[in-house]
Amino acid sequence: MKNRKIIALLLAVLMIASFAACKTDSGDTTTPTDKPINSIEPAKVWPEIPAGTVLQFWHAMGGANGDALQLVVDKFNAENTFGITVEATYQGGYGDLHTKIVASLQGGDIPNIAQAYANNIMVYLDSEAIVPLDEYIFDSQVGVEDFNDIVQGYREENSNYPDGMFYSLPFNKSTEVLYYNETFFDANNLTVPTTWDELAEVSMAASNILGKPAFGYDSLSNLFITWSQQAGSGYTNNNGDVLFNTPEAREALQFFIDGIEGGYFRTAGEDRYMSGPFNDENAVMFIGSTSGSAYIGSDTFEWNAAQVPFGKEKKVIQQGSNMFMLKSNEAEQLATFEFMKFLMAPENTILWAMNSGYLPVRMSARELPDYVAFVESGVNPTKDIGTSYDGSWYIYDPVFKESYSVRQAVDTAVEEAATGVKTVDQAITDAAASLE
Amino acid sequence: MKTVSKIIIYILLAAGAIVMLFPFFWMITGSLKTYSEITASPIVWWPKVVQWNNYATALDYAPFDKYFVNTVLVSTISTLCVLVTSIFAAFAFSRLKFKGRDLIFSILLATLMIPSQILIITNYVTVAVRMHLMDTMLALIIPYTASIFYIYLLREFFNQIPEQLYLAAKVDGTSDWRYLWKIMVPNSKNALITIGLFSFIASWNSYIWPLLVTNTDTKRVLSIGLKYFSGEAGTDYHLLMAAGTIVIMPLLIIYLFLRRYIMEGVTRAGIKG
Repeated sequence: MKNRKIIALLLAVLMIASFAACKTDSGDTTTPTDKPINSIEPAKVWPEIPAGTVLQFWHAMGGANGDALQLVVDKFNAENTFGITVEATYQGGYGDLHTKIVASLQGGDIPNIAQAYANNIMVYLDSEAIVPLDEYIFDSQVGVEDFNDIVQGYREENSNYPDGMFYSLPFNKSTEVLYYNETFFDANNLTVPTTWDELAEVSMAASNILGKPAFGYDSLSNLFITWSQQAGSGYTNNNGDVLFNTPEAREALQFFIDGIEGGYFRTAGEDRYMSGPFNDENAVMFIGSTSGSAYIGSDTFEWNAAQVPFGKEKKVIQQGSNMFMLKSNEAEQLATFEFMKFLMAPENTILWAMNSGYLPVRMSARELPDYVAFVESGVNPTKDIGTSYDGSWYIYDPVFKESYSVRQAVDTAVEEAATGVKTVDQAITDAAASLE
Repeated sequence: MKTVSKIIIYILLAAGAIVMLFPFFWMITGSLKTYSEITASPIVWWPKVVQWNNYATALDYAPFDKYFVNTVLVSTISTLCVLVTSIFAAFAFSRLKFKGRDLIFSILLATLMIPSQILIITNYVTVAVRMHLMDTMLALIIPYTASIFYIYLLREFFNQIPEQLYLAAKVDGTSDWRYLWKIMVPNSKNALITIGLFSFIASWNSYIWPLLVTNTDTKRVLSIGLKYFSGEAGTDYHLLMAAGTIVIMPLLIIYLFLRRYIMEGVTRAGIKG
């Protein structure tokens, strides 16, 4: 037993050493996904994009986000020098869009580009209609400029497929923040919590004033995924192996259950989203998605947002979906890639971020004067907080087809523990067992 | 004693009516509230300031006027088609004698057991891929032009019309065609109105199919427009209720006009609506 541990350790050291040897250049945020530009030799001959090329873009952005998307698409149609026209079509919610893509892959009309979660893209990969993007991204002529400027966590997620290729690129990205009732905090001299201990302390104090639980968490699966990893536990890997059956995950869930039992934490429960009770002042802080900020607000108090409180490790979830390319002819594919590049360009990703519920996908975009001015105007405090996270803090669901079932299992585990149906230990043990 | 039982019956009926009407009350008042009023807890029953502009805002979200015209067109045409195909098929299965009639009817009935969700991709391949009808109004109508359930319903109705009538008509030299339109159809008016209404509502409400086979706004229908109000982090319930009110208004009006026939059709066929 001991020998095996030593061998494993030696192997690990060897692997790290070989990675270090492979490491190419500059020391900044280098991840396994980083590849040197010009790695594909010799220079490829790219086709001409014929003027008048029309691209179909299927998306799931309704309402204000849909308008924001149209704004960026219109800008591309007006500005691109290739004469490309993108037709963006709303295809219902993510679930509907998924159904539609699955159907159209049976031989129907497929779009050139569409929006999807990575686990859904895994399903499409079987059809072989999805274009791997590496030969575009890292090409010296058509490649993405300063690719490492794209948030590290986003690059990692979009190359987290079985063969390590980029089958998607980040598009509408959000994260979680701590929303709080600033009026209430000021009136009662409370400070915004930054650690678990402070979160428990402030929640207790606020709950005593309020007479009901002061803090809630919108998504119970996010709670489990984030807090267990903040405590130092794993979640899953790409094979769907359960890595959360650990003491650390139990510690994280116990922290939440202690709060429930102590009457200072709550779930959204029947309200579905914490924005409801928060707006009604039935709770004064909660952790929720930045993309939900449009639903927050009241005439009776001022709200603000802060970084989520952290445990032992600084981890925060990245959410939202990605864009991927479907096979057509070479010229159309190149045109599609030009559009993808355009969406990720600093000036366009901020245009998108300023008008939608999402965040810029590039680190440098956060520094652009227009974006800084927008953030400082304080229209939406989540924009400031959302972009204040370091790219390396981001965690995401490892990509495999059934990753959603793991999410459901841990969501159930939190629900069961929170309602007292099961103990923390039992809930996590059962969730892990159900996925075996 | 009689008055007591009458009172009890009326109380029960009133309770039933309230339960049935409550969703409408909630939708219509909800359409006039602000977002914070509609999501408020404890419940806000009546808006402080009536928000008529919710309707204007909701209509701005999607091209509802175009969707409205399309929906009326698709629902009307498919309903007429369903009526024609149901009348012919039900007549064949109830009056005409041919080899294998009952076997074919049983097979058709058996297909009712297959959930429609399972068929949706197959239907897509047939209509959109093989028939090349992607993004056309025809693709919206074709799958709704015949319904085994309505054929079954109408056949039961036709079976209630005495066989002797048919034989007598035959003796008088009436053709099947004439008999069908002069005797069967007029006698089944209530059933036909019920079927027509059910079919109209089903077509009016269908969502996934129209979404699958259309891409351009000019071909889309109202149900898709309603989806615009939901996002991944929440739903604009007040606007959704406003749009919902607009979308079901035509159905309500039709229902109010045809109420008498529907009641008779439903009670005689023994089918609950």
